[in-house]
Amino acid sequence: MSLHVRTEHLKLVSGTYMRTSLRSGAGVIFLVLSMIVGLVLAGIATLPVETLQLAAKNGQSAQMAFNEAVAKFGPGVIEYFTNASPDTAKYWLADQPALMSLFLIMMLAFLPFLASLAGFNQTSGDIGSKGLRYLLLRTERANIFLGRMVATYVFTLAVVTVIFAVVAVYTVAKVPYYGTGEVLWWLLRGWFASAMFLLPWVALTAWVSAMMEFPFLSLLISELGLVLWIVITYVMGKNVDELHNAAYATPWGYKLWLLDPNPGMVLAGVAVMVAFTGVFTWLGLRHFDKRDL
Amino acid sequence: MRPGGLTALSIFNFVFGGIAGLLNLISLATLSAFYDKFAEQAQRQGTPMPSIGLLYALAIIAIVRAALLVTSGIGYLGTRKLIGRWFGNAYAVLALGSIFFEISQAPQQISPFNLVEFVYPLITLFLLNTVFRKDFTR
Repeated sequence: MSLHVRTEHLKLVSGTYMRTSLRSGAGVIFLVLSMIVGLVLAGIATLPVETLQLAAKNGQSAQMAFNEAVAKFGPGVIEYFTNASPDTAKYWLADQPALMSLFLIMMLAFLPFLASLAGFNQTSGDIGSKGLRYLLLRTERANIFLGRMVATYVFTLAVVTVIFAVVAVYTVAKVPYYGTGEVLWWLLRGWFASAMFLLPWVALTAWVSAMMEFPFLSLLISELGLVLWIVITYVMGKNVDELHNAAYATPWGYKLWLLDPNPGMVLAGVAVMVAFTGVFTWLGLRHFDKRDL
Repeated sequence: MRPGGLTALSIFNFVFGGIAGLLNLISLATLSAFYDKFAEQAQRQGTPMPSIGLLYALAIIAIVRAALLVTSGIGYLGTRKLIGRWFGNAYAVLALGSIFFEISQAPQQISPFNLVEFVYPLITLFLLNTVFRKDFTR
């Protein structure tokens, strides 16, 4: 595999690809859908506040009702859905703003789908139309593959950043139960976790995109594969002992390490994400280098 | 040549405009029938209820917004300056203005789902005035 990476070429390819993808149908669909879904998730996470504020009007303290609800239902729900230990569940719900933890857990589950929606057409469309042959006269394959992958990552992260910023403003202004610093710090940590968790999925999508000649097939395989994998690891993992640790074969199984109370686990989570990114990028590059363009 | 993004944006306009137009026509038609019931309920709960005139005005503005969405969608497809870019901008400004007005009238009623209502006009403003600024040539 030839790996001639030139920084100037990378910058040029990624800048051009970012501008082009924002003008494309897929780019606009990604932008609108991801913002809507991200904010709906934030809506779901902060919805109990509305009910509790109504309870406050009926004489009960909203803060008390909120704390009661979190203490009563929170740990059980979190442990069931995330397989987290009781200590971790307590950390997310009691030590950190519980509603923001809920938002972050949902957001992390949504990110792989977002990444594949953003990156399914990184190279597949141009492979199908043989359009890359003009670019290959001017730069090496690695610059095209990596440049487009970097552009997809930056674009996706920018959208995620806007979602986090809107949620931060809304929560600080509307949810009175948490301190501003507490919310902003936890959301910043969540943003960092999202930024790390996005890496391997963007790399995986780049690899899948390099394998397919039709963008729609690339999207279908990425999204359906993800759904299937989540169903297998989540539903079957609860019933079949052999599949209990299957989630750890992909970055999906490590996502909550990034929000763990133990800094060692967070570092391990980051290392795993970087390792998966390296593996997927290498596989993608290898495939892209060999295929007929 | 029309960029694919404008085609996608016009499809969103037709979907959102169609749904919003239909829902607001229904609410306009049924407003007078249900107003007394809602006013009575609000009085019992001690929450303020806007006048029927204001509710009619808001429903009419929402229908105008929906009409602007659909019309500008047609304009995007034809890359037309007036009914594409300007009607699209007019929709976004009107939508943001009416959301701000609704929030100022009933700040306690803001829900996180209002954030979703904010998003589409903001994206429209951003895309029409930056990414697709030079594409409206006719």
